[in-house]
Amino acid sequence: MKHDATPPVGNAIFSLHPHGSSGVESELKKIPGIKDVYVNYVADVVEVTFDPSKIKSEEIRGFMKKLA
Amino acid sequence: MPASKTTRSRTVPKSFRIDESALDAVEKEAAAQQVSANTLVNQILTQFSEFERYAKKISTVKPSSFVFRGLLDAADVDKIIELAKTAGSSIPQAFVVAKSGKVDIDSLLDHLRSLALYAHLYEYSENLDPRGDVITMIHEFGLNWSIFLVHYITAMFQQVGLLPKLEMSDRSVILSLPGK
Repeated sequence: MKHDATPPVGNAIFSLHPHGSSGVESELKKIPGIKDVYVNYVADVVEVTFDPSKIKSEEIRGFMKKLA
Repeated sequence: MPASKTTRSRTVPKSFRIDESALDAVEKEAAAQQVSANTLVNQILTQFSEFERYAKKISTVKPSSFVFRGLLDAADVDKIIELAKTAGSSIPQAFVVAKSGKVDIDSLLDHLRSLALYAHLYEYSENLDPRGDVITMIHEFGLNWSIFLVHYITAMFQQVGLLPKLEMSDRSVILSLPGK
């Protein structure tokens, strides 16, 4: 069986409100499986790149709610 | 992810004369958000270059989420489906052609991301996998919005000869695309 060597990549866009932006970037970057975080203050969203084999987007959303 | 890629692309120095009151507003907002005015201005310009200048070509309006949800709840489901099919077969194409000059799967996915990033129509998550991509859209606009999205996205991908698999609940739509 042929296997593709390209690993899966996860990207997510979450609303910043009502979670708030304070500390979101630094706190999310501490979570294993999260590769990159970018807060867009104008669009009020946070963009997250993650390894879907290590963490699910629902878990990241849940973490953001805890931060709010 | 295209949005991050564009917002983090190479920067260049450039001087502009801008309205003093606009600068004051930007500096106050930047201080409130604890970011530099440079970061904020860059994100404002990116939003214009990536979304607003194309959105105005399709006469986009911005109702509040309260009004949007209320209109959806009041609407007849058959009318929503009819509107979604009509809109999905024309609006995304107009948007992506204006933006990228071509209609293909990648440009249509970029359109779905843009609606999350700049229009707040849902939160967006994608698992990009050679065996098949899975895109999840989560929202708070109720079942009628999920129904609209399912038919809008189906019509959108039909334009490139693709029949995607879609599942929905009253707060989410999951789109599965075949592997490449």
